[in-house]
Amino acid sequence: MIRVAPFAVRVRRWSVRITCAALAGACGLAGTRAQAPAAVRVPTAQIDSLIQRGLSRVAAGDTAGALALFAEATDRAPRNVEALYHRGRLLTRTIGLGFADTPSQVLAWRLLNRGADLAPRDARFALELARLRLRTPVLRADAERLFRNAAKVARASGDQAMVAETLWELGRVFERRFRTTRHRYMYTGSIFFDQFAARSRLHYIRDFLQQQVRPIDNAGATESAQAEQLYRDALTADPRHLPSAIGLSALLIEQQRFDEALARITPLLSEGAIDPTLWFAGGLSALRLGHAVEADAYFEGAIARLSPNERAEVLDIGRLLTLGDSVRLAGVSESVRQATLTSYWEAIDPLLSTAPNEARLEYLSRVATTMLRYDEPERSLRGWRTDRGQILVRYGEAPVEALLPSTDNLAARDAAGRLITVFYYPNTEVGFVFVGALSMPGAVFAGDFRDIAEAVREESPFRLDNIALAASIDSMPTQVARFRGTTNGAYDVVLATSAPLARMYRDAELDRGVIALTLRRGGVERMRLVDSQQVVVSLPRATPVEYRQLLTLPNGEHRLRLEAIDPAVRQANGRAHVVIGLPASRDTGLALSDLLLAHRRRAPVTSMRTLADANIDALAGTRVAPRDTFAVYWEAYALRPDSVGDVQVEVELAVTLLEIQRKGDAVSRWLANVADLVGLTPEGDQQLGMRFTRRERLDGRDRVPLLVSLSLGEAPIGKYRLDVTVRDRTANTTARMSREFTISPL
Amino acid sequence: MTQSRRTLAAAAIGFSLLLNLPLAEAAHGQATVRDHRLRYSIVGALVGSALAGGFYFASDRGERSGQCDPKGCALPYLAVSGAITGLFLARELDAQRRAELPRTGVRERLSLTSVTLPSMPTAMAVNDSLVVVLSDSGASLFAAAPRPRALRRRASALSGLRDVAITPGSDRLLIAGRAALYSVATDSGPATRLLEGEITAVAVGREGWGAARGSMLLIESRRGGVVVRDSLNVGETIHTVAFDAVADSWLVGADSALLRIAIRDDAWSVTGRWPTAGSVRAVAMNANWIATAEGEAGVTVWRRESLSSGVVTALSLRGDPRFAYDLAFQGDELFVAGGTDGLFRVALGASAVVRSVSRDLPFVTLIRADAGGGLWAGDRGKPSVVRVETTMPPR
Repeated sequence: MIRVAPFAVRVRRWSVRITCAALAGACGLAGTRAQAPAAVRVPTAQIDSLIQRGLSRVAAGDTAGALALFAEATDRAPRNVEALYHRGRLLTRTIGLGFADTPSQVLAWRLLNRGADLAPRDARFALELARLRLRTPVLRADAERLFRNAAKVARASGDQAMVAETLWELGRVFERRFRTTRHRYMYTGSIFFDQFAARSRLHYIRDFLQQQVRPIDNAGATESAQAEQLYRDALTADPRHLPSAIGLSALLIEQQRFDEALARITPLLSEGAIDPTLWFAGGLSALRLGHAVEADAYFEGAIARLSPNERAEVLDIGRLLTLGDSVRLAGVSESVRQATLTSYWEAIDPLLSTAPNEARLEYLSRVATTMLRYDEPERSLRGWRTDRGQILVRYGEAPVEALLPSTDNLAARDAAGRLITVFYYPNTEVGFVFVGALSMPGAVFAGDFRDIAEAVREESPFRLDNIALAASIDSMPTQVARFRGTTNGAYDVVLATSAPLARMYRDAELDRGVIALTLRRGGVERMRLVDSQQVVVSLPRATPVEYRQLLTLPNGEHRLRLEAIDPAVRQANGRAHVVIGLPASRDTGLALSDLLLAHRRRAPVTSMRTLADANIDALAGTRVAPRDTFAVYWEAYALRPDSVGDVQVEVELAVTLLEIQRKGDAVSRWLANVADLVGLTPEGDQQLGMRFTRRERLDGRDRVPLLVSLSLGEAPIGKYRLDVTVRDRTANTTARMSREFTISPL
Repeated sequence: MTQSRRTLAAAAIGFSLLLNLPLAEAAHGQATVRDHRLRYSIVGALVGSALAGGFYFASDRGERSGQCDPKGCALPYLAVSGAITGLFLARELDAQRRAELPRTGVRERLSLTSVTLPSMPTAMAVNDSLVVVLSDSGASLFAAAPRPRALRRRASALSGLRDVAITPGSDRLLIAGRAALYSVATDSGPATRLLEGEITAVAVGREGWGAARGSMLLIESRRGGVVVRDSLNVGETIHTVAFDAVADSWLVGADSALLRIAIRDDAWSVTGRWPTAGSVRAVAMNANWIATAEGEAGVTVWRRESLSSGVVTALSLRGDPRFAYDLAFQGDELFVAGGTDGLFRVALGASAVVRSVSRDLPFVTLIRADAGGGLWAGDRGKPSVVRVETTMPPR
């Protein structure tokens, strides 16, 4: 059972703690002042050596060893300002945010205070004292005053770099306040947010945000303005102070002032700024301004400037895959991983015709956003590693982000007294809840939302639905048919597709469209451009632009991507992506090619030898207009000739209605479906049955092309299957092939 | 013992309060805001004391035994916590006032009439009867009247639109886009492509138009009754084009200069080049002045007569606004769209002086003056086109 002390007792305890802290600070101040004689600024060689050894230990990551050396230095030379500074500074870096490190805090405070007294014009002490205050519980609010004091000391000493540093720190104080107030919501109802209900009840987050809270207008605007001004002042003092440039650009980007951010960043990048965060900020700004090529260059610059470990982390797509896939990817060799990486980005690129890769740019822009928002340099924590950062990278910026006051649910211990952050994605109705300390940058998943995030990741590890381009791409109907090539190990592949102009230009007020058609092909490796055409069309035009290509491909798996775009029109983007497998081993027995649906151009040549002899145009897609007559072409391989050199085949064609496509209201469609089930409609019926035999002289051919014209008359609109069965009467072997197609108005 | 501990606690809180009392220094050059901390702290303390007094009078001595005593406990705690609340409230209000205060000039309240746009405005063109605003959704047309009225939308679904100009007579629009330069009738009909390829800026001249592609200026003009298309490479990237009716020439805003393009020896050539502090985003002119908005570099203004004299002197406005997006003349006054810094009214004379700043538009990035002297602004904060009435004198 948990015993909670009465309020009065708790208040008394707190007051004692505050008093102790204040008095300790005051005593420290008084003590150091009492001891303050004239400054001793020249350290002895021994002390110097100790400090250098200590700094070497710091560089090597041995903080305890360094502290011991600095302690020895301050013990032997209590008035050596360098020793006092380095010991006080290192102690400050090791202190956490709670009460556990109070003795270290008091010690660091005393050391730095003594240093400040010995060197009153040295702003480093004032700055470290302010940083220390920032880590002192309860008295954190006083850090602002101390940072201002540090800035004053730095200005007085004329140290512009230190002025910039102190103003930057002060700016960060306000930026933190801005970030913890910006998306603040206030309660309008009487119900507090319940993270357990958010987890267990469908639509809870949506309903709660709609009914129980409302956003506070202009929340954080003042803090943002103050932080911005401080960063600008810091940059005035030292125009190359990169942390201030990063802080300023982060604020400008947050307010969608991308022109201003880029104007600030570009000169620093041109000078070769080394901080990758600034390069990421440049990329993000350029991307939001629509300068994709520039953004790509900045992102590449940023990646090149990351440390090797961080670079590997950013380039690792494991975070964008399901847990299982990420583990599998982690287990493969480096070369396979690189190939997978290339294929992955290529596969999810909305349009290969528009360089650079929009999906990858979006991913890198999300990484940039996490860095600008959630990076914590003090803890060497990168934004993409944080819980909020992970969600942001996977699903983009939450369209609804709400910061809510603490919950009243005593069972939710991790949220009590803390700030609750809700990321809500209305399109998918997915929400994530985080908790974090007030006015502090960090936040972690609340309760078991970490598990929920993993469950969501299993279903959809990476979403790009915030890319406008991805939403505006039409699919292009495509037909692919494979035929054996003239040489062993090669295939002839017919690709026929069409750009649906009526849809692509549906709202465009334009008299002429210029469509760029491109065909790319690749295996596991990167896709390469195979064909490129430009088609000019007068608008409006209802009929689609058709594209046909006969490709000769080797055995193996091939990816084909056909794209049709008109850069002038927002929605004029079409895409078809096909993966085809071409088996290496060929049957020596009777085999059929794919069935190719086509329109006849003119009569075929007698005794056809190849597809070209058929004089047909492959249908772009597998859709046939009602009452249309169409042709079916296929090839039969390994037919056995009889004693006079002829082949005899018996062909059977059957067309089956698989599904009737109905219009009308839901009730009538449902009734019709019931009728389908009980066999009252033609669904499932064979619409056409046809059988014929053919005898041909083989005449040295390795195949026998077959061409049949079909008309389904009044067959209803719907989905059909064409089955072709060929029997070699000489060898008495049979082979079958099928193709599904639809009958619908064009 | 308990009494002394409470006193100590109160003293500690008071001590930390005192640490907060020194006034925050005003930012350099910024108008000061009256400090209200002491007043609010006292008011807070008084409210706390009043609450303690209420508690004292409302409760019985018997009920209070074993609880917080009104004088020794409730009074100091409530008074101090009231003072702290007042202090923080005052700090917040002062900071807010300071953030809203213009860094230079006086604050001006404008009379605004706005019409919401479907998406963020990217460019604007205005003449005597028409206001055209470009956005991701095409060109939105409004009647240039004291109360803006939406007319129709043109060039729908075209992407990457950058700049727009209205032809004389308001019968057609020229729209610069990522894929082409389009011409579209203002009433109905599809857009036609005048030039293929990316066009970054466009302007209409007396008898033709000028468009920019990279460092090339493409000019269509009528010479000797014949329509002629010329091109001129100015050697640096062009960001904006304007036609100077006074000098009958083109003004081109480039990376580091404002260029004048005019016909010399029967061919277009650069007849004037005036360096700027940054790349030129916008050019505005009237009978006496020519001004450029240069983003972070501020605003540069030239007196016309000085451009033709041997010694060219320019007025400049740096630092305020912190980013000059766009500018327009209304009479001899210059209005500068300063983004979130607001709309700046600048008086030109021996120097350029900010007279007033209006923060009524949250994110003003476009500003144009119509032929009747009316001002039109494009606001990204709440995507809208705004008719600005400037008749009110600055407070």
